[in-house]
Amino acid sequence: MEKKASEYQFMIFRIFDKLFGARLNDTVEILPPAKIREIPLSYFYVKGIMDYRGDFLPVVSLRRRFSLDDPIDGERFVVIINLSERLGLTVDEVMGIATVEEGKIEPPPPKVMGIGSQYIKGIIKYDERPVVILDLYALFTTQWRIQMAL
Amino acid sequence: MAKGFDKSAIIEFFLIEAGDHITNLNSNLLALENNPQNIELIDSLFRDAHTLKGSSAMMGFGVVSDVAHRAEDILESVRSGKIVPDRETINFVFEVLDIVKVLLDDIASGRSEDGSLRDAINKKYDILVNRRAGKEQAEAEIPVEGVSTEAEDESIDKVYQSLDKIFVEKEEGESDVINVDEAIKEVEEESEVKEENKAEDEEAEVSSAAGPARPLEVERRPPGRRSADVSDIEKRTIRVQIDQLSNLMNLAGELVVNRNRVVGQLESVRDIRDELEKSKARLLKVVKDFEGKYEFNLSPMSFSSDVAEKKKAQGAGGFEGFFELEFDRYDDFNILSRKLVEITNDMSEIMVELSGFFYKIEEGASQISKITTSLQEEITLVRMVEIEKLFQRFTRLVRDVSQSQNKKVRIDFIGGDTKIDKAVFELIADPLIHIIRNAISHGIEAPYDRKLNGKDETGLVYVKAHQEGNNVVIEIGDDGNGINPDDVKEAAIGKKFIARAEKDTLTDEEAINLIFLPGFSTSKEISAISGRGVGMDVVKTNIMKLNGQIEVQTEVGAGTKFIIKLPSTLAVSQALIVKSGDQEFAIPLNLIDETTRFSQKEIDYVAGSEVVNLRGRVLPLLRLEKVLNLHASREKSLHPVNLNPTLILKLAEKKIALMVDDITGQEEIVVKGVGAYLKNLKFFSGATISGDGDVRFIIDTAALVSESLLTGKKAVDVKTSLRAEKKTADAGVSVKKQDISLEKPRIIIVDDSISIRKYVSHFLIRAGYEVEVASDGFEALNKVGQIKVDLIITDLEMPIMHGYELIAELKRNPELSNIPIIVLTSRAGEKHRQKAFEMGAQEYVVKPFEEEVLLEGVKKLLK
Repeated sequence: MEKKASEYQFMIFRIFDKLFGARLNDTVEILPPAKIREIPLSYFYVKGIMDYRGDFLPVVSLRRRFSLDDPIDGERFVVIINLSERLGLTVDEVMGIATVEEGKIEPPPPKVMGIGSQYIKGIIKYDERPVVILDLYALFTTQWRIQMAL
Repeated sequence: MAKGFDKSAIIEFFLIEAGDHITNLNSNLLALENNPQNIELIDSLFRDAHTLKGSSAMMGFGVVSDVAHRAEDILESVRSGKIVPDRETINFVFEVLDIVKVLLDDIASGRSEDGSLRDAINKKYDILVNRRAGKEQAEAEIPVEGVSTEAEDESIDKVYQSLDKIFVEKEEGESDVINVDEAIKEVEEESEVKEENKAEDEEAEVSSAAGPARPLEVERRPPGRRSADVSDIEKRTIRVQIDQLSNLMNLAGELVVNRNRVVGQLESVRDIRDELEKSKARLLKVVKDFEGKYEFNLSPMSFSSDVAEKKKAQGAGGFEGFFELEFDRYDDFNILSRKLVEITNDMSEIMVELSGFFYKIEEGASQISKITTSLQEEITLVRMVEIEKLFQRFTRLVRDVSQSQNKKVRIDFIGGDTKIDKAVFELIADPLIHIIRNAISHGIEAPYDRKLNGKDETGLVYVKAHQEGNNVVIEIGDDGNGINPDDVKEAAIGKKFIARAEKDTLTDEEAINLIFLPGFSTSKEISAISGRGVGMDVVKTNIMKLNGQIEVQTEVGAGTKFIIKLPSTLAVSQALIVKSGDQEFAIPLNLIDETTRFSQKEIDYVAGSEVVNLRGRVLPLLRLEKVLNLHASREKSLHPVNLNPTLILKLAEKKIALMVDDITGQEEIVVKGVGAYLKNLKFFSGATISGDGDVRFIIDTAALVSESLLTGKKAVDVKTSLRAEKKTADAGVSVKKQDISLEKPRIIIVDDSISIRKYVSHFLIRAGYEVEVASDGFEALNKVGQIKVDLIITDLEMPIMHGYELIAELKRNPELSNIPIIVLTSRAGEKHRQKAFEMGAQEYVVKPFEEEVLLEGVKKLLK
């Protein structure tokens, strides 16, 4: 896909009826959730770890992370993201890729669906529907990782 | 030499090479100390120093080169017989080596070389040479080669004098640069003259004066002998990065996992083959029976004529009644039967072929399996280094420590050819150094005391290594004073690790094990070498990290012995696969003492925690599903007579029993870290992937053991549990007092959604609270009436009794009206918020919410 300098690309995914986006550059691939092994004594929103080509990949449930309504399972895809290390996020459905001009990204309101604005990069429109662009780096910080390992 | 090469790529090799030279120099110097006349040693020393100088000059590290040059000069003089390799000389070379090491470390970490070190060494060199010159003149009568004992004695005296001088001058010199420079110049001139005088006699290099200013000059004239420096062994050796090896190891590990999988699949193939053979036999039998019967009935007719006749009859088109029809039928029957026999024969043929093929696959698979095993073994072997290399590091240590403590110590190494994984090797080096230091500074007595006790003046420290199955056992012993359990007890009381009243109840063995407590030291004063109390607990932790064990045996007056047991390799290990709940876990086999079974009936309670009796020894019992908070098959474990598999885990002197649901089997596992995100997982040291792709966690036995100590204390007051632990004859390390707040704040969560209850209780438990749940206001009210609750988190919309009602009821009861209330609801409206506050709620959180928000509220209200 041709991309202009002032344009950003986002992967759009759905959790319940809400749409979220992540910078395409941060995503690596989409997998069906294979065997995810639950980690005893770990955080509720850590679903577990799975075998990812011979390495272990921690998998986090975004539903549970944002306590979006009923945090019961039903997520069908794992989006592998690559920050300083690889991490899997479970989502309900991957919708597609959106290319958005810089000017079209709206600043986040102070709080969206219970998610603090520090975790949100902005709001874009996809098929006329609002999409919350997540700041993955802020969401999965070192601090958070320490919590996760508790 | 080549100019303009990419230095950074070669620096690494230079550093490795330089390290080798330093190791050689160190060990040869030590040897020379005991055998000063050995020309070969001197030659070899000289060559190493020279090569070090040359290669560092080539790399452009002038300071290293210059410093090494000084060592070379001295060794040159020794080689030519101009000076004797006495203590002064050897110490000087040692000092040079130390400085080179410092410089190399600088280079390795990308800093520039510290030029002042060169000056310091140059100055010492000058003093040494001047001293020599003076001495030689004074002793001109004495032939140099015939080193008389007299001369030696004298020289030692001088050494001490000059040593004093060196240190004094060093201190002065550092503030007085000009003088030093002048002195260097002077001496350089002198030595140049001297060296030139005897240049003809020497086949090797001269020109020490070339040193600082023209480092490359030396390299231009490589002396003949040194071209042979690259030994045959080096030619046949290749250096490999440990990372690369680790990668190889990983791949081999993957292969092992896949092999295990294939072996599992082969089992089923074998079953299928057996089935097939059985079916084949049955089919053949049936067809034979059938054929026999058929042929009995129609024996007079041949198959072919039968067919021909039938065709004829059909061709004629005439129907001759019943017989024709019957014949026809027989014909069909006949043809079918024949076809059946044919097909059966074909199938039998195919089955034989297939069966043979299966055998071949199996053969091939077992071949691959064998090759995989040896591949893995070979790669493991490549990573293995002889423990002797580690021992070399200790020789120098012993020398330095014993000298600084004015003790005489000899170190013996036994079993240096025992092989050990490089990774284990690196991790074990520091613990061993600690133990050896301790042995010299605490264990070995001063020479005078030793004499008094009828011992040889020279103390003995030995390090013994040998292979024991998949483990390496390292023994470090000394013939010193041993550890006195009473001293340990006193020190422990002094540091408040144990109460004075407990002193007499501790057995000697338990007392000795107190030395593994963090911050423990018996030393009266802190010396540079030991006594800071950061020793033995670090040693123990490091060894436990390696899944190893450490044991201490001591006898007052006779010596102490530490026995360390380590897995010889880390990457692949034998593990027991156990099941708890529906999850499988791996436990390293070398930490399992035995496996046994206990029934619910056999479990006793001591101070509120479960214990079992193993052949008269009382051990704390842990249940894996409880420790890990898993949902285990309840009815099975609670049945009073059912025997539950139990592992006896041994860690150092400590034993615990671990009850699991099932033991699945023993397997070779490939240990892998779980990555940085999860590296602090409690109770797990890593994970492994099973043959069928399932992730299994590896249980961290050390964490389990400390957990068993904690749970023993949580229940009751510290004192009682201490006594209880003593009863278990297992107190050992456990006696450190810990302030555990006995009561966690209790929070009740009232919500009709099970997932909300589960979610909220999950992170509240994480945050250290005790949690109760209720699905509606009525249930909550009941519970609050029965147990003490410190905080209530409630939903608003619930069946039976909703949130407002609950709050109203609570406020009506004077005993309950003071419990703080947080409303957690999806009603975001200001009206509801207002109402909740009016009724007496302290916080109002709207779903969906963030954990931190709720936690903050909880914290605030519980203050």
